[in-house]
Amino acid sequence: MLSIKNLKAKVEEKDILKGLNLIVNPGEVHAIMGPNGSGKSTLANVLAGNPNYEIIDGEVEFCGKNLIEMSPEDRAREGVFLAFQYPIEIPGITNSTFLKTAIDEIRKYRQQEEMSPKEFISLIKEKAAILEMDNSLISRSVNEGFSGGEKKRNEILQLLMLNPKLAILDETDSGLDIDALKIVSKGVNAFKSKENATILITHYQRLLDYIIPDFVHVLYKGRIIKSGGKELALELEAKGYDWVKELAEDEE
Amino acid sequence: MTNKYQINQDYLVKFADWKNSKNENSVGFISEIAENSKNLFAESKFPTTKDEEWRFTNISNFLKSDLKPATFEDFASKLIPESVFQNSLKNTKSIKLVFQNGFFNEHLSSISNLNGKVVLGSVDKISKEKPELFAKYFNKSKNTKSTFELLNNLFAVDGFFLFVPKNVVVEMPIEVINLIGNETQNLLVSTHNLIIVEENAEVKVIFQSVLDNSHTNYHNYFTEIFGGKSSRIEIYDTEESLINKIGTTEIVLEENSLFNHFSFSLSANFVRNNLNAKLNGEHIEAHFYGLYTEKQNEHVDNHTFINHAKPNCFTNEVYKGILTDNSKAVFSGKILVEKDSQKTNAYQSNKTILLSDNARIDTKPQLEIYADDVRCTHGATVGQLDKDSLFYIISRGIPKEIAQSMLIRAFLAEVIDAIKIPELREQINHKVFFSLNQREI
Ligand SMILES: Nc1ncnc2c1ncn2[C@@H]1O[C@H](COP(=O)(O)OP(=O)(O)OP(=O)(O)O)[C@@H](O)[C@H]1O
Ligand SMILES: [Mg+2]
Repeated sequence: MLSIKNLKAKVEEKDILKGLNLIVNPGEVHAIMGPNGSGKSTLANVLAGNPNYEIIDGEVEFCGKNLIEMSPEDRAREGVFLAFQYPIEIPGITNSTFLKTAIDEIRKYRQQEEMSPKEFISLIKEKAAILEMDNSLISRSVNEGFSGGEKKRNEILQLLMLNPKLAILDETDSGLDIDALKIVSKGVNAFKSKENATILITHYQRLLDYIIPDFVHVLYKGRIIKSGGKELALELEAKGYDWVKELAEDEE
Repeated sequence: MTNKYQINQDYLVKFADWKNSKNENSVGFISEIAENSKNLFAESKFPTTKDEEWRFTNISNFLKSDLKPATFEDFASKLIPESVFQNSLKNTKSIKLVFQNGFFNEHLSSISNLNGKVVLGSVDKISKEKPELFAKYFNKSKNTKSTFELLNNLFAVDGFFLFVPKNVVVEMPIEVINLIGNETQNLLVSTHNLIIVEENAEVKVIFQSVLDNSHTNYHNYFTEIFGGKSSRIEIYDTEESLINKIGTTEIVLEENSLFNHFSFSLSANFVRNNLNAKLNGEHIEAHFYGLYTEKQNEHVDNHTFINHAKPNCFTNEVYKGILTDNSKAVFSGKILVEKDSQKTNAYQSNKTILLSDNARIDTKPQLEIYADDVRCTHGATVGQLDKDSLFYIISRGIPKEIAQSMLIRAFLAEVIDAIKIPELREQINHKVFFSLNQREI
């Protein structure tokens, strides 16, 4: 589904990604861990097409198409979704207007009919219920006045509503209390299927107790320096990053 | 009379001609004010950009336009365009009063279901029928008048009058539609409005200037509003695109009153609003909202002055705008807190988004605080649409133009969502996007 080869990217003249390789197949969950500033959010933003990030080299193929050449809106329409580390507030635009607009634009791109308001309402109620969100949140402005945890939950609501092929969750777990973490995980697990894939960016092993990854990667200084199964996360939790950093530096 | 200012002399000559041609009936109160203001007007210089309060607003187009003061002919001879009610409320029951080039058109107006004690209609007519209501208030809101206010005194033959007596609540909004323009000439239309709301009375008024042709017409308004003790007043001031408008709203509030004012300039050609509010009692709450969206070479200037003359009052002033192309906006917000006005809360903010490199805003907050126990804040920002927010929206598959509209809506939400009449809120929302050539959201 996603194939990243030798990806190099910079932001404001600073090289961040320095030759990153990653392959994600349908049905898989990949966790990406790594110290602060290693480039995790950069990777997420580059995949979603944030114009602040410049790609210098490398290839990204998504479902057989060249992702790099696509506009960010088309990436979303092709099925890429990024849950933001810091979701934006949009006063005056309700959650339902926002999501209905997004769904209909994606459908238009796929030459499908608009979703009927009735279908939309029942869908959003169904998804909000999974996330134990109050229906009143639906008619509230996007993220306006939401607590940190509510914003993260709202990102997952968007994920469930847009139902992409590839979900990239950038620290969706940070700032969540244990109950909220369980709920968000429930949402992500409800999303997961054999046809789609998930990239989880996280600092904490505890998220991976709820969403079981097939692979865990360590991103450091713009490169994936170690990959393994879910036991790698436990090892990182116990020992920190120093030992992997050393391994990587030895290799250089 | 001296021969000091040529332009003033020109207008005084026009005044002499105009007096002869004006409606036979309109002698009396208003004519007296006109006669009395002649000398003052002759001595009062039109401002130039050298005057501090007019630094960023050049009125040379106004001075050059050789405007003809509107006469009764401009009222009587005219056909009424369909467009007169185009932007008025349709699904909300309202009282509608139409003024055509300054003259009250009773025929087009619809006044019904009104509490019998409420008096409203033509200043000219009611000043003759009930002079006692006028003597105390009309033209009394301020002592020293600006040149434009004196010009208004000279040429205003009529205006909107409203008297809401004690304890009366007027449920329906009152729409005052000023139709401006005639087929052949550049008109100067002067209206002098008076609103008196007595103790514990309540009312909402929507002023609308509607342009009727493409000539260079100017609407010169002078609106006086007196809010009695515990009165509740909402004023919406709006105009059609292309209009030129210069005027003053003078507000005097008494204790415990609640006052909301909205000033909308949505693609107006040239606007200078002076808004002066005097808080003349304690525990007054007043909100002043402004919204301007301008394009091409349009110009809007909002000058506000809020005088906290008594302690324990709250005012909040929020002016927001979006400018594109070569348009220009000016905001000047003065807040005066007098010496004994302790426990004053006064907030002011002016925020503008520039969608083009050539658009420009000049903003000037001025706080003059003579009391020590007060809370006053002010802030002005100028910026572009936030890139990160734009990306967030686009990353959901939403095209850039809609994403922009969403951010415009988000930016203006604080003002648009404060509009208390739902249908008006929708109309203003619509006009915002229309005026900026953006997709409505
Ligand atoms: N817009 C930007 N302008 C300048 N520098 C940036 C920008 N975005 C990211 N960076 C820099 O790029 C580097 C990588 O940042 P990134 O956000 O990708 O790290 P991260 O791995 O997500 O870290 P964290 O765990 O703290 O979220 C950091 O040094 C950061 O300061
Ligand atoms: Mg990050």
